Amino acid sequence: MTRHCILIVDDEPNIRSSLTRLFQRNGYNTLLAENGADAFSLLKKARASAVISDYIMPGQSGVRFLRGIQKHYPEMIRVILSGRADMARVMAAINEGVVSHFLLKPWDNRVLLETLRQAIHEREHSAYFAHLLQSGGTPGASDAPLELTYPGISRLREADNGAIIIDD
Amino acid sequence: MQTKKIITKFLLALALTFLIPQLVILYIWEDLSTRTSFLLLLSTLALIGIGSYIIWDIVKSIRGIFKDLGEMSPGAQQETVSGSKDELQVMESSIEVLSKKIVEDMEALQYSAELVEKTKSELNEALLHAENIMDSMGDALIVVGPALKVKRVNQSAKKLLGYREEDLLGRSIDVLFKEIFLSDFSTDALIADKRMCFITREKQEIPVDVSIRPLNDPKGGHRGHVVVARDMRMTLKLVSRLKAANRSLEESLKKRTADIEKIYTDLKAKDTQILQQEKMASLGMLATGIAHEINNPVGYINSNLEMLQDDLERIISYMHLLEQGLSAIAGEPNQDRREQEVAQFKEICSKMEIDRHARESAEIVQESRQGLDRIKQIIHDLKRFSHTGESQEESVDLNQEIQSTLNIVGHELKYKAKIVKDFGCLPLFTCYPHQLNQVFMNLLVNASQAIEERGTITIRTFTQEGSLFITIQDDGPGIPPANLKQIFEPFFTTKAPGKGSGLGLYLSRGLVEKSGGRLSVESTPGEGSTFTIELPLAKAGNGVFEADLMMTLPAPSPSGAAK
Repeated sequence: MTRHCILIVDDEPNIRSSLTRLFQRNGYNTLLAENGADAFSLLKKARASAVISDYIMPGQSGVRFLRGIQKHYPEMIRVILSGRADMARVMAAINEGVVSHFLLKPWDNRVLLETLRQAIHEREHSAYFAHLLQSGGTPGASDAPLELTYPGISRLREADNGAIIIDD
Repeated sequence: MQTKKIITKFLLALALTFLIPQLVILYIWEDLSTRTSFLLLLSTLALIGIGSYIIWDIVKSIRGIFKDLGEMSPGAQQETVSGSKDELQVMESSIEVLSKKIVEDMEALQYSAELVEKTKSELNEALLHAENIMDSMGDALIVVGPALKVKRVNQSAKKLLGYREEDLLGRSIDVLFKEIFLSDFSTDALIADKRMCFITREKQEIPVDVSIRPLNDPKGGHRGHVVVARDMRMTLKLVSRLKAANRSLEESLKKRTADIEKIYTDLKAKDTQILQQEKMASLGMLATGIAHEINNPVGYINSNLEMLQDDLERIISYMHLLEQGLSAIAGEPNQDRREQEVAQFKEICSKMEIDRHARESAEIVQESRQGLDRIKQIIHDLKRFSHTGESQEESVDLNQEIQSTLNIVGHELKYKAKIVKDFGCLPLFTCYPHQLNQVFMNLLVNASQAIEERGTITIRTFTQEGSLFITIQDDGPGIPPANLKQIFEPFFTTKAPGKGSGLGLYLSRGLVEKSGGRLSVESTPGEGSTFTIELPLAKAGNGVFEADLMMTLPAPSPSGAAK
């Protein structure tokens, strides 16, 4: 089973290290970046399922950064984790779909983990349906529970005999 | 010759005086004797002889006189020399000359007499004039001789002193004054406006301002003094009235001042209140930034503690397992079974990742402590910053104060602007630090708000020509010239309603001036603005500053080298 990778973007090193510990202990890999530019250069070498960004960052705001992510890596889940934000802008960004989740510092570990877990789950679900729609088939009844069992699934393939094959 | 003539005349006179009485007696006694007739005849003859001689002598004398007179006039002389020597003629001409001369002399004499008369009348007139002038003087004038006796007084002196002129003349001057000293009568210097006191005839005292001028003749002789005294009663009355008026004025002024002071105190209290409100408002504005800054460490400390709890639980359960394993191994006599137990235990250990958790819990503790220090620092700065009211003046390093302010506002600024610090070496400065911190904060926040997208804020500190300078420069759009004049006025703001009180710069200028300094602004539209705080180094505290240090300080570079 693939460990999902989460990109953490924050200018505070202790935030990065505590989030790393949290995610690594809970079955994720992490990528760490101090700012948006670093994050983009990391993404050239590695893939991430989700990005967690601070709202206020030197260089550019979290929303602006995530807009860039949305453009180049639309499949990535985009979360803002910030102690403070221009709420009007954040709301607009959420409504535009630039930001999928907004969480406040100080955060609750369980809420953060659950949010990401669910977000990744939903994304995979929709990816699955998108795949099915593309292939013209209809989703099987067993698909959703299957995905819950295997949260890390990235691709589903229908076997010739109708069985669902999880690429792993 | 002359003597002989005189003796002859004398003898003749004597003979005459003797003969005439004798002749008289003889005439009286004529009929007494015949002898007498002879004597009488003899005496008469003698008398006729003597008389003839005398007459001739007289004629001779007169002739001599005329001759002399004739010689006086050249015409006469010529006549004497050339003309006939007829005596009568000579006499006639001489008399003519003489009378002419006499007429001439008489004329000259009359002219002189007239001149004298005229001069005398003119002199009298001048004297009268002088007297009139003296008398018309309002000031009392007393002329004293060298012995300080009164020689002359004017009308005012008599009137003021109440004496008649004859009572005053010859009187010693010291009688007229309450206190007058010999030293007041200098022979070479003028005494001017000395306050003295007249004693009048009625023993009344009159305050006078006295000038005493020595009277010296051109040859250097001392002739006495002129004393001029001015009655000061009216003046003194006026002065005392003026003083009273002044006093009442002073009292009303004092009352007014007290009123103003009260108003000022009230205003000051209000000012302090406004200052406090403004400070709180700016703090409120910063609160979200500060909250963010606190939320960061709180966030990771909180997250870390949960994981630390996890770690601890894991370590504790590991210890329990260890305990159980140890007692199991200890109670197992069979060597193979014992080794099996140990292997099993090792496997559990590696599954539990105890090493990793132990290492991470150490990291967690260290990072969390860093976070707590951060929070502590923020709270310390906040406390220092929000300090209210008047406190003791402190000698502080303004670079540190700026840093402390930056710790508070930096969170607000750092996402908007790059902060360039170009701090020079500063002497300690005695001030109320929290007041200047508020100014720094206002200027820094303003600078960041002036920047539209992202820019640079340059903070420079340096000393120059006995002053300490702090400049805060932004590269925002600048201030329009029309606004530049009003920028320090209360309630002037270009921010949206509710976004700014319009008091920030007004209060900042007040606070800088309270520290003895000046706050000024320069702005070029399109290039940015620079606010300059200039503080006098005379206030630099504790003598830490050394004059030569000032010389060696680097001049601020206009480009502002980044640090």
